[in-house]
Amino acid sequence: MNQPIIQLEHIYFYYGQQLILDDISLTVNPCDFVGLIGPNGSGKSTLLKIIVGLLQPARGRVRLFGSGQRNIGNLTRIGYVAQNAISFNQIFPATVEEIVLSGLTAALGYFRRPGKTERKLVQQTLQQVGIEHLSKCLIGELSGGQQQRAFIARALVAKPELLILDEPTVGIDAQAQENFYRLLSSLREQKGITLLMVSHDLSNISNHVTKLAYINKRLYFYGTPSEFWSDNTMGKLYGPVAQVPKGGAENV
Amino acid sequence: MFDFLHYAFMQRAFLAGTIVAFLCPTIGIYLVLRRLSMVGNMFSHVSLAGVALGIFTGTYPLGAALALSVASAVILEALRRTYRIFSDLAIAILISAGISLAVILISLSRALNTDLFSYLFGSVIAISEQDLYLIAVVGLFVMLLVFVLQKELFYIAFDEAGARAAGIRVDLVNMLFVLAASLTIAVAMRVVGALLVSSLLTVPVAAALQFGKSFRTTLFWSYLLALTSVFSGLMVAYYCNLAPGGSIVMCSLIIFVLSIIWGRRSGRKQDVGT
Repeated sequence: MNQPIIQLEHIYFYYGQQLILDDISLTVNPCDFVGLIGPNGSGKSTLLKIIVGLLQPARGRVRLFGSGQRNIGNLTRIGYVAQNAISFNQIFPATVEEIVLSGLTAALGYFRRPGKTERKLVQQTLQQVGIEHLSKCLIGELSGGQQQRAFIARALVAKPELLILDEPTVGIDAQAQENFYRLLSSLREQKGITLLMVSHDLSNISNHVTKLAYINKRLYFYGTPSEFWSDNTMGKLYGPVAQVPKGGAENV
Repeated sequence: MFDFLHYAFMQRAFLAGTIVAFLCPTIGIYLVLRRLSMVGNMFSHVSLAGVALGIFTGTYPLGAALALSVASAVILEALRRTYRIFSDLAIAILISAGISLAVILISLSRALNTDLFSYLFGSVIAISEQDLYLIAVVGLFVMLLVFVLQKELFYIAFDEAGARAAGIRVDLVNMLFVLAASLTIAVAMRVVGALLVSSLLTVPVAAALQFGKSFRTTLFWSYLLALTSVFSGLMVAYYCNLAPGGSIVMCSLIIFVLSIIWGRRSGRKQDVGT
């Protein structure tokens, strides 16, 4: 059971002729909380999209839960909250409950419709993220932080083993961010959920994650936050980059 | 007051109108929420070309409209996927193809007559028993299809990329939905006419957005407002001897304006479609 959750093997990706990801290899183990950091345009979101199957790598292999097969069974074990999740049509006439219930769509399959059990599960999940009192509100009436929680709930309701979040704290105030990290930590500790999260707020995220991965087209660092800081990785990255051996960071 | 229901043609018009009033919002709510309202125009123009083809070749016009509408659904998906043409451009191209083909076929068959007129603007007297059967069968099929795919369509309408990442077969569901839309518009054309069918897809939904407190209630309001529009429009058409397309859509527009006023008073958001 202790097989890695995500194994990326020599992933390359191009947009047109432009190289976006250059030989990325990394492994995420069960119960890791990995913070994926890097400057704008470094390929962080692209890498997440490759992991969840929205994009196909030009070369390389993605293994999820030890399997190279990308099938519905694997995808339902992943909860994904996209970067632009809260940029939806704000007048979309759906309640928080309806949005979270839709997180069970793939798990239910085509011919089964959600019933009492599913609705109960939705209420439990809303409780877990602390917005059960908003379940009948229209999604567009919520604040940014509350919407973010609703999307996390949509991802959590299908009981994923891996939660992938793309810059979930953008546009959320400091207090809400702090609560948000607390929520993620409790999910990891109590439910054993593995977390992979993109952020560009390095100082904030490094207080909460168990591992940091720094990418800028290539993977320059993969290790614990304390290693990141003690190693003066930032200095190295912004100094002569050639000091970091290519591919050498993958097994830190 | 309801003496018109003694006439068989009015019974057919009301039955067909009822089916269409359920079909249009069923499809329309997803089109509106996905900002694909122009798809309605596309299928109606192509359906009109189908009617012209039917008249030209002496076959059943509504049958030909259905066939051509479904064919254009396949072409739309091919243009979008295989040739990577933007949806709105692919739609514009197919609208042009539909209307130009219709004009050519109408000219060739010198068919600018009442029959064609009824397909352009709808008709209360022209709906035959054969039409009614076809509308009922298509209606049943579309309602069943959308019922089965409801949770998938909801997810995709709200968040297409998220749906894809969640493992929903978005391309398949989209293809089936476009097919259902093409069928709906072809049969709805018989009641409200090719020029106005897209209005019945969008206007009742736009009005319902002012009332709905959830997806489910918005859909309920869409049905209610579409039914009200169709029934009142058909009655006005009967008593004033009008083509029903105009009166039905005008009724739905009046309802829309009233709902906007109501929405503004009760402080609901006005930015429909932004």
